[in-house]
Amino acid sequence: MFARYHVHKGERIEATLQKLDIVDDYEMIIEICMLAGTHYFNAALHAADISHQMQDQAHTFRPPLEYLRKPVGPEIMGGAKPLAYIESTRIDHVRGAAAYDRALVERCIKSLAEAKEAFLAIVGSAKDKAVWELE
Amino acid sequence: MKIDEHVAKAKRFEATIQKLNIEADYEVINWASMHFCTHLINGALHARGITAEDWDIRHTWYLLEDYPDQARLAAKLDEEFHQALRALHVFENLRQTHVRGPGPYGPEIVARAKIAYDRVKEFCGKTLAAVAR
Repeated sequence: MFARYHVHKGERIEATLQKLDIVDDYEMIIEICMLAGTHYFNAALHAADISHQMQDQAHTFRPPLEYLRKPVGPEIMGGAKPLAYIESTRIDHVRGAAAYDRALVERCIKSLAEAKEAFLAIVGSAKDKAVWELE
Repeated sequence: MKIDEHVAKAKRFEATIQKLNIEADYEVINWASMHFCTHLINGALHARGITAEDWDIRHTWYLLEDYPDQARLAAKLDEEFHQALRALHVFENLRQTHVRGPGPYGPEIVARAKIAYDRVKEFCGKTLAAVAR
């Protein structure tokens, strides 16, 4: 998907956070952080020409980053590391029955913000391209 | 995970969905619906003695492809259970097109998602109630 569509989708999904409660809805808050963060991740990868816009990552590890046509550098890793943290919480707190941990959920929200800042710095003006422009 | 833990998680996802708007939040609704269904399906699998409580599936293909004893699985999964798994698979498929992808939401998708959601809820509700008795 084009970088700008990833940013649009990421922002749509992130906007849903405003409707949710950090205690009652923490599982989906974690998932939103993962989903929105992954969209921004893909936007950055495409904008930096590390992956083709037809080749999206579902997660930081799937497909393996080694499959990408260029290596991922420190700028991308600046966003990928907080995103990977969010991903690591899912098995126990979304799919599993781990006890509620407010600090963990807050860290996921903060990690999304860190990842978004890092990735959108790479995307730059690529997110603003008018839809009628040819790529 | 224990059956009652799966049911509790499913109810939490359902409560989250109730807060959201089908147009503004369809990505999150679909994703939450997938988790709702997956937790209920895992509960039903444990309740029927098909999987142990320490063996949860994340997606339908984990069961249908990775389950170690496929002959036993074929004997234990009736057509109704297969229909419930196919219903969960609706949400698994919608991830690629409408959550990760640009697929715009429309009335046909809404209708299909509702049928799938209701099918899993009804089947798993029945299955879990039978075991509770």
